[in-house]
Amino acid sequence: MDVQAASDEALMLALPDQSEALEALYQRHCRPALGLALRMLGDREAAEEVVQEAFLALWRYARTYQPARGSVRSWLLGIVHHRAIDRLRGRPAVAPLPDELGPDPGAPDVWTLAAQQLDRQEIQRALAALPPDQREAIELAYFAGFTHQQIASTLQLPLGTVKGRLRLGLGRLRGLLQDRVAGGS
Amino acid sequence: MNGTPHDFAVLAPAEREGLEDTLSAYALGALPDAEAAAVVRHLATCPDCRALALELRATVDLLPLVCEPAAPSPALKGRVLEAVEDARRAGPVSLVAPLPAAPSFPTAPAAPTPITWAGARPPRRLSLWAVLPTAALLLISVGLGLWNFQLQQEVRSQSAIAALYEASRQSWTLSPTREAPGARGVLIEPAAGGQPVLLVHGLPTPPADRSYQVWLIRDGQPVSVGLLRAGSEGQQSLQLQQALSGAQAAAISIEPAGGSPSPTGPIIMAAQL
Repeated sequence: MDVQAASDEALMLALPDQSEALEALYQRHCRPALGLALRMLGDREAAEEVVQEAFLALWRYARTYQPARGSVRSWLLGIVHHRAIDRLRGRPAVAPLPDELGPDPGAPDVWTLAAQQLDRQEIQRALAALPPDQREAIELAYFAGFTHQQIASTLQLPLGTVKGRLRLGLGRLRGLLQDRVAGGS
Repeated sequence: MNGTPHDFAVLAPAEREGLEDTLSAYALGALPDAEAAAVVRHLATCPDCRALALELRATVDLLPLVCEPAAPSPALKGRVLEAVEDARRAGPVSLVAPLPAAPSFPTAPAAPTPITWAGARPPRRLSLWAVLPTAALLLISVGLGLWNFQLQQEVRSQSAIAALYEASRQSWTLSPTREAPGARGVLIEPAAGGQPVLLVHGLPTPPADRSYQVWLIRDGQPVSVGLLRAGSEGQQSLQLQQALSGAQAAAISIEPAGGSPSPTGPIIMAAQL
């Protein structure tokens, strides 16, 4: 198998048996994985450990990967996120995968496919365009690993307000990104 | 959130908003463990909420892409390859095709003497972590009505169950008596509400005119909480009909088919709670 030319999905199929497949996936995705882990944990050593655990999980659960649910990169980054949250909350890494949603009810929608084409600047711009209170709530939740209750007590807000900000922020973010996808910018 | 599916077509706007609040926090990983476990169980039964959760997850999946990529230290690649090589040498990946043909509950030694209804039972408590993998797989295979996922979803389901365990309050290992020395059992109490679940493996098939009946003992009085259902591969399960509160022990006895109002047969497994 020509690992350089192979798609991520093909590499996932080969992953359990071929170490070259793992090496190729590592080369392609280690940098964004470490970027996320560093942003969340702030400590290089811990971040690299999380990345190592995530690639081990990628290998271990390769057969359960479903392309219809998203790209290999999203899957890997989801595992990194999950592991980093485990650390932030000081609990043992017990759940191997970040995904309990079960089978996708249908083929990936246009939004999912299009969203994979968005680049970093576009997503950064969309996040920056959120109302600051919504962006703050989302960042505390996703990157700092706060629960909604922790956000509420940190910001001294009612829990309902925090929940509302998370919902509105996510909805708004999706809308903004959809506009960019639709606008072809 | 509970086990009742929602129909978004007829949902009041405020109720839908409340669900979306919860599912948004869930998608962002911002729910406390117990609440996340409740969502996981609900998603297994509610297609509309699952579709919404998938949609929210698709947006959340874009968030990590805002991070500046970072170059790992050169040694990391070697450590990753080595970790995988170690895992490969350690044996086949048990979670990939994990229907538990040969589940191994933590071994609980057979009680030295027959346990009677009046007898004291030795306490036996194992850590949750010790029973997690097998019990989680078992939980999938016995199909409690919550986990009707496809085989390829198993690891995902297992992750869901792991979340339940993470949030579970406690679990107890049942000790077998001489009546069924090879049997293994575990009783799990979820913290996030919901009924306790009993999982048993290795009980002999009862004669046609007999059933395994499960009891909680409160102040010396046994109260029936249901009959064990036969599952595949010699596994049996029961979602208890009541919470464990106030019970000092749980026991399984063999009774006339369909159950008995009070225990008559020998105890085959028991746990002190």
